[in-house]
Amino acid sequence: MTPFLARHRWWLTRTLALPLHIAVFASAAFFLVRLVPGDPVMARVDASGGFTPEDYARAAEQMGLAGSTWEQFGRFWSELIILDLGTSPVTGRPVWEEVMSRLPSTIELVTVGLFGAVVLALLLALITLSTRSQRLHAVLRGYGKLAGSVPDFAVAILGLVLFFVVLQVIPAPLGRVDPRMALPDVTGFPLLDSVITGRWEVFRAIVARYVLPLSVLVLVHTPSLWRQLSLGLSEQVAAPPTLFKVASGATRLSVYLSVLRRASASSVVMLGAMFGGLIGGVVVIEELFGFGGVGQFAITSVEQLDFVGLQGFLVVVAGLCLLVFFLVDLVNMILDPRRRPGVRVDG
Amino acid sequence: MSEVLVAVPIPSAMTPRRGASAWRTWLPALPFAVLVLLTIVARWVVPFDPETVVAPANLAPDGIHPFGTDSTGMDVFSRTIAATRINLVMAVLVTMMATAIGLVLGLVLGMNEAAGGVRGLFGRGMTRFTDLTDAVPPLIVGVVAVGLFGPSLVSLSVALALILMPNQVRLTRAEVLKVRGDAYVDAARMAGLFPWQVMVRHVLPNSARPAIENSSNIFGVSIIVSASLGFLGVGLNPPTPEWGVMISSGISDVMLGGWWTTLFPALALCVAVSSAALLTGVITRLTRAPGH
Repeated sequence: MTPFLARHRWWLTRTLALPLHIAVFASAAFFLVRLVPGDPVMARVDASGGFTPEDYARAAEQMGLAGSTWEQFGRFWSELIILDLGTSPVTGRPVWEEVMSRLPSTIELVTVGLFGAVVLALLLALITLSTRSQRLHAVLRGYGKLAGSVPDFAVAILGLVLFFVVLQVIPAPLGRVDPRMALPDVTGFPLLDSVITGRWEVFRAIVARYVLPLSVLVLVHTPSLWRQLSLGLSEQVAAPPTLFKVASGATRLSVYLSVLRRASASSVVMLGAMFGGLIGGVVVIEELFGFGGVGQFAITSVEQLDFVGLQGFLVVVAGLCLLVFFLVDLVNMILDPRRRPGVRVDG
Repeated sequence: MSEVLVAVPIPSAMTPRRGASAWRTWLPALPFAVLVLLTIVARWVVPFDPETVVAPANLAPDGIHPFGTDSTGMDVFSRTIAATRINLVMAVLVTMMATAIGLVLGLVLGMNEAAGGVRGLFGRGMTRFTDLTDAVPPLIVGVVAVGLFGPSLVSLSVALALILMPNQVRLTRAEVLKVRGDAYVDAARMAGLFPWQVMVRHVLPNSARPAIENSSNIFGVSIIVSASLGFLGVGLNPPTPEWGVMISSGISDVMLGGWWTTLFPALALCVAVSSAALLTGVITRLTRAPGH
């Protein structure tokens, strides 16, 4: 191996593994959909007035279920390479377009929510590092215990009852903006688009409707992150590298940064897992507030027995999650070089 | 089984305080016990039939209907209590299946990973694969399972158990890898025990703890997912009382000021999930208590 390859092996191998992982998943999604008991084609064919084999063949063709399983598999892959996920027999539109028209708004909601959670968790970490009050530490530990034990949409309902019904300070949960307002569409990310086009009244309307769902996401999902981070902090705060930093007269900020850097690996993994979970899980919040995101497409596909749509949705969501896991691994290997494969650690 | 064998330091917050009486250990388990009891007796203790119209629609909470009535005139209190049945039974099924399969698979993978040849290859391949299953959010799996196999309790439970299992596999496997090289395992092997005897009698009891502690987490997640599916309208069918369905059918009432049809099932959901979370502490204490 040349020195160049040896030096960059850690990210090269991980990058090469990504398409492989996605391929495994896409194939798994394909076969999963074919596992359906019974004949899904029959569910589509209108059998009430009798049907001919030609009707059946046409329905099978529409659903992407014509030919043997291996022929279908070949077709699936040759189309997937060029990002063609087939055409939904229900809406008549390409599945890729259907998913991509809904995905950005979900990604935006989840990203902003998780960004808030990261900021709050870092703030809590800063408080823990800079104060010695046992009572405060106990309160923060208690907050960490809420991790995973509060369903976000139930909290959102409590919030709706309080702020919409009783106090009447937030707009009705009937969509991202006022129904009379048109959403600008440049990139598909609603907040970003309203900023790009300079439509500040739209931006304000979205923010007003995002306040409650985002606060719920931040409050409910910070504890998981915070618990991981505080575990790491308690391990690292008095570890030899920290003592060395303090003893060598480093500034307080640089000591904090060094502790955080060593303590954050498992929280970064947690963050990635939360992002994946929320891309699917936030659908309940989206439905509750009438936002409509990528999860809604999955629900409609299930209701309409649209297997092409379901399969395409699975491939895209799994691909996105694998991409995030990939980024998580890279970030962790950058934060902590000891995590790179092939690096020997003494002791 | 001596605790010395397990190579995990006991965090100070987790060890029971000296002189802590039994009831203090068991108190956090009380809400969960009440819920389980309710699940069993729900049908007989509710004041009204949860699946029939018993009063005028949209009554606000009062003495007779403590949680009010919903838009069809069914008693919200009775329905909220009766719903424990579906939501909790499913969560119990999922937790038991996920933990049982997770323990077995984790044990087998952990023991075979370092082996040469096909066995080791299979072990490492499966480990990789369990890592990959993380890429599908549990709720999506639920939606897909209902879509493909229909809204049945069994298919939903199996699908969720399969997707939540990898966590248990990972936890068990990590522990097995630690325990595997311990002296008593070697001693058992040299004493002439069959490999499966070593696995079941010596490695399993010493590596099951993390997965068992995590089972209350799985319980919480499965309650949330089952209620979410009900809310999204792809769960089990109404008028079967189920918290998610009740919340979604009540949400339009909220706009008109009828907060009770949604709020009470939502609260019940929170209580159920947090009671499982409280259980985590109890399980942790039990599995870590010296000389139990």
